[in-house]
Amino acid sequence: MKNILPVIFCLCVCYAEAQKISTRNGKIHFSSKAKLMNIDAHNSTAVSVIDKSNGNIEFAVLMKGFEFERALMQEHFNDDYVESDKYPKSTFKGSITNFSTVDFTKNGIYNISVTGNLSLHGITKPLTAQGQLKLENGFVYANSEFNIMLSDYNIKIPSMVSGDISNNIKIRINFKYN
Amino acid sequence: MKRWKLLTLILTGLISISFLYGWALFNKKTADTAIMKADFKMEASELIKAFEADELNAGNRYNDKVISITGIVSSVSLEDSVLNVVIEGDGNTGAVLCQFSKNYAEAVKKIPVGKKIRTKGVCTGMLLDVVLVRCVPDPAI
Repeated sequence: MKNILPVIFCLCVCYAEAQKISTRNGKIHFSSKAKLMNIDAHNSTAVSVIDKSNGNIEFAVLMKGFEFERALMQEHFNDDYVESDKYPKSTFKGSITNFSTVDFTKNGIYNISVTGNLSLHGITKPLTAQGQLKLENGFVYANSEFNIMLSDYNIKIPSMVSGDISNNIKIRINFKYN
Repeated sequence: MKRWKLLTLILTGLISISFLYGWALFNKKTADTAIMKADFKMEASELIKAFEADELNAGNRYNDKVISITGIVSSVSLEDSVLNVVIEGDGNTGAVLCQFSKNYAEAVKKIPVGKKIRTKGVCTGMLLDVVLVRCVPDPAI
């Protein structure tokens, strides 16, 4: 009897872990359109986990991993806007609110709503976003687009360029989970 | 009158040069890691251990620095525009995720899983793994 308990325990742990799918190659892109210049940056090293047992979803991204076309823009982004030395990561923790409509055993496209908390620049704010889960050939693809206001996260745009850089940022995520 | 013309010419020249310099600086692309000298050379496991022991201090030491690491390739991800290679530690530690530029797609395809390679990239911190971006392949060893 005492030999079987550790085996049962290990099986339970393995089962719990098997309910989680993850990626370490998540793509996050943000963009902003304004008078003087459009800003585009992308990051393809985000990590994310979905718990298939309860619909919980989390992701984390390193701010220094965002790449811009222009070196100066990237430098200002890290040094002046998001202060990535002080706040190196942005995270989201939430859940799929219509989780009951998603069948992880069936290929298909599922429209989802996700609610949770986004932490950026040391500030945490609630966030709700619409997205899609696509199940295909054993992989789960998550896509979503949502907007945030930089001012909500205490990211200050210098008054000199405030008319030229938009406060409204569009964020697009594309994750492929194994 | 001639002096004023000369001064105007010089001033115009200076303003033009300043403008062109500013414009060049504004449009400058991020440097190619291939031509940058590595600030640190180490085994992947050494970098991982530094972050696992003290993430804050390791970040202060290694973030934004060009690091040349050596280690065994555990996986290669080639999806759309994502070119990520995972280099494992020494079995008891995590891994280093190396994100390669699109320019090196052909080279990344040839990186063999299970072999020891050297690669160079800019450190951005740690999530599940220590992350290097703008990586370039070094000759396999």
